[in-house]
Amino acid sequence: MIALSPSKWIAIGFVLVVFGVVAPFLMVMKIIPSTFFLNFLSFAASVSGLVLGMYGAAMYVREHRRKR
Amino acid sequence: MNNLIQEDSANITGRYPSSTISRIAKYISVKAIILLVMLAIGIYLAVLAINYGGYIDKIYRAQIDDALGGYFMSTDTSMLSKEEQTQLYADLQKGMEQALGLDKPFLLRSLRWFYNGITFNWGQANQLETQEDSRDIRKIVFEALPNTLLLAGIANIFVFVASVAVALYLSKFYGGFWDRLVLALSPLSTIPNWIYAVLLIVIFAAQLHWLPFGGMYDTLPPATKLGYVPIVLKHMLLPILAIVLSMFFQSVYAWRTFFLIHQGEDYVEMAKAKGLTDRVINTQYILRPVLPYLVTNFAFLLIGFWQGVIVLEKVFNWPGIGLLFLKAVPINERGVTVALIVIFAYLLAASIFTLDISYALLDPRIRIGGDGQTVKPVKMSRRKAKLKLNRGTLKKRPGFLFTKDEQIRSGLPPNRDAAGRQKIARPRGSSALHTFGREIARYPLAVLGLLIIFLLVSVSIYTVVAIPYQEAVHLWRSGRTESRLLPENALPTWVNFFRSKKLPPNIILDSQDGTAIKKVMPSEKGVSKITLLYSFKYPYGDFPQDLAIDFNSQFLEKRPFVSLSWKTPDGREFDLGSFSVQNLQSYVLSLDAPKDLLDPEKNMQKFLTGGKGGHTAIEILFANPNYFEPVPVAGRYTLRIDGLVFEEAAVLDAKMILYGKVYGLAGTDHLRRDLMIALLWGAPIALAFGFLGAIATTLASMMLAAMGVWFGGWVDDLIQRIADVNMIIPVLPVAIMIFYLYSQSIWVILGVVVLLNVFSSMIKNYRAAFLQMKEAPYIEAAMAYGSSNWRIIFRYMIPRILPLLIPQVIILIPSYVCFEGTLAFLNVSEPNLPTWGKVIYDGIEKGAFQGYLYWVLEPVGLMVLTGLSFAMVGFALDSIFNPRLRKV
Repeated sequence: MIALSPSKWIAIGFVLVVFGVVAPFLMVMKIIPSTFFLNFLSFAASVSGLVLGMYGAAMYVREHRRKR
Repeated sequence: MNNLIQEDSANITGRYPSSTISRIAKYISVKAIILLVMLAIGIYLAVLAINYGGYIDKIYRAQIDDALGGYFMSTDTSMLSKEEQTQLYADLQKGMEQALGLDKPFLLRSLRWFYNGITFNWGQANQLETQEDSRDIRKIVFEALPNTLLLAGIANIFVFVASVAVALYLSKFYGGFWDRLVLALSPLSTIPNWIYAVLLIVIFAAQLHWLPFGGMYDTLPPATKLGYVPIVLKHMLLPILAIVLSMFFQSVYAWRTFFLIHQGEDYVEMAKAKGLTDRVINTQYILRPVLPYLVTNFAFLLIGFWQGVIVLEKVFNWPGIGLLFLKAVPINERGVTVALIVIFAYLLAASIFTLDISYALLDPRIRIGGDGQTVKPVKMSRRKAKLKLNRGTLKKRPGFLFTKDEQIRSGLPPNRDAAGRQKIARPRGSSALHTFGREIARYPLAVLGLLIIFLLVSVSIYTVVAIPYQEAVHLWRSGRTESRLLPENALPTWVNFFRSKKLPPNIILDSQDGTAIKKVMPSEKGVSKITLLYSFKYPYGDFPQDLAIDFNSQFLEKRPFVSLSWKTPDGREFDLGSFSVQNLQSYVLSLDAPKDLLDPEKNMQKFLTGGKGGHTAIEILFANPNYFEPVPVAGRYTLRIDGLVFEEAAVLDAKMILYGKVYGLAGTDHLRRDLMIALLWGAPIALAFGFLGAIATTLASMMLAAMGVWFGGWVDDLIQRIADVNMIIPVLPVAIMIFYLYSQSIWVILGVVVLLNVFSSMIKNYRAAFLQMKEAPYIEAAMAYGSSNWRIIFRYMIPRILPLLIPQVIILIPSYVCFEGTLAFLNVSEPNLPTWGKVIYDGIEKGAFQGYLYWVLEPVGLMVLTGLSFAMVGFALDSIFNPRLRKV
């Protein structure tokens, strides 16, 4: 498991979520080709981005509590 | 202990120990392998269903025959002998069959389709094409997929972020106005997203004209590719709003409730006692323990989204994979259908796998140990159980009551419990009802729901008795003769209560029933003069739709001759034509009016000479000639028919039908059918579908879960694996497929849907409840005295969770009611069966948004009312039967 700070987990999650929306948009506008790989990558990015974001938030809460 | 130390060290260093990493990796690997196997089984079953028994192969063979027939018709083969032509036909047929794999056995064909399906080798479509006219199924599917993913991505972010934020806020201000409001609105989530979609279209597209009705692009393309961004965003606003509305309240209710439950835990009380701020308590003590639950809920929302996306795309004409599926199945595009089932399965599997990964990250049981396995039931022999019983296990449990047999075996007095205490008499009969009534009265919305259900059931009984099924089908069947008398697309009569200018109703006058005046004046040589007068008051502020006259004459040889004239209240007269009539003949003003009537030179009406033009004959008959805009003149109108019959025994009668603009309590549709028939009959069909579906699903799930838990071993494994495979199979696409390929009976489809829903998350919930119950002392006691397996399951296990079952059934009913509506809306229903969903389907397909909103709003309103009534009662029962929810 890569040890990242909670804020980095949240940032990664956010980037993935944005990718999950932007990639289909680019495919819809025919700027990039629509392929199986890109479609599922964007879907997986969207879902996993949310989960990672939540995980980051949970880590942040835990770390924050420990510091108190 | 070591594990806890490791976990603690992870907290301090921010890194996981290697054992934890390997445990998580093992967990994820095992889940991935299981998921892949389930995916393969699920897709293979779908492929089998699509081509079961070679049904579609027959269609393909027929298409080959058609193609060859066309080839031989268009090609000159006269130089070939008859034998050579036959040989050429056979060779071409064989080649085409081989190209489609039809020469292989069914098993091989299905395996080939399965392999091709999972490896994306989907071949060419027969009819469907991409925007670039390509028939490559890969291109067709991947052209539609990003459109759906775009909807999914944005909608899920909105739902998730908004729900968590609002849920946290509500749990913080528990019992406040907003909390009570959201609680009251939570049953709204039982309504499917496409119902919200219809309502949103009515408001924002049809009435306010702020947003487009549907589609993804404007008619004119933008100058640059970036110009597509605002256009697509504008078109996707309503679909996203519909998804968010359908998911929002459910998520907020569930998450807020769990926040509250966890808020009541000891460690939260401790935090409050320590004087921590509300913000710290919310984020550190409430949010973190419920993270796994939130993720689970989110995953189920995702799965639910993929089920509902088909209908939503249909409503908004959004060119995604749902709409593509609906286009592909009716035209037997087997390749596209397989491809889309594979895509649906992959998407569902991806959602489930993401859930598993997040469990691995969030659930401490997986990180610390146990590999996330569920608790294994303790296998105990009857002898061991008996020994345990003899050691007095049961006697330590006050309140435990014996059954009659157990009482005899225990040796205790008949009115004593397992601890020897006096039994407390339970309320029975009327007092039980009284207690229930008192409990339910605490929930005013539930009382309202019960009243609506009572009303719906009463209407259903009345409908079934007053309009028997065959009669309803006859009345609803299009093209029947009675429907000629009804106006087309007439609004319900009650709209006149809200209008200053009243709309005219249907006016029918008949010379045969005395509502018209008939004068017969005989003359010489058998010729008689018959005058028919149709006089009526017309006080309405709008024009009627049309005028029709149905002639009914009887003669032997010579046809009667008639002249029609029209007299207005201000004394003007119009000639409507003269002609000879047959036995049964109709005159329709809009089709048969003389050309002179519409001639501005001859009819010097101002709105004709100076108006905008395009006026109808009926407007000329009713309009005030002094206005530039057509305005009807109020007063008494008269239609006069002067007829001559040329035989002594000849008869001439006629019926005048002035088609109004309002009709009945529900209005009419484009086929002049009274919508009341469908609205009335929709109730018993929806209720029957809802009750049967919900009860069958719940009972079957519960029994299977009980059997799985009790017998354990391969029985439990089999049931759980079927449930896992079932999660990969999308219910709605399968139901649609069954309809188009196998049976058009909604009851067969209901059976399939029940079967698929039986092996859903419900079975896992019941399994968890039964696993706890299996270890209960009274089960051990039952085993000890030699009770049979079936007796334990049906007498001791199932009855214990029956109270929990009641709210489950009630909450599930609206899902089935709406599912029937959803199927009918997709035209997946018996053709002649009048249902609410079918009315909505007809309305949207035939232009309800162009001024006939009542057509969709009436059935939508009834469906929402039905769904909400059951949901309101179900939520209240859930609170009554579940003590943990009672306080929140």
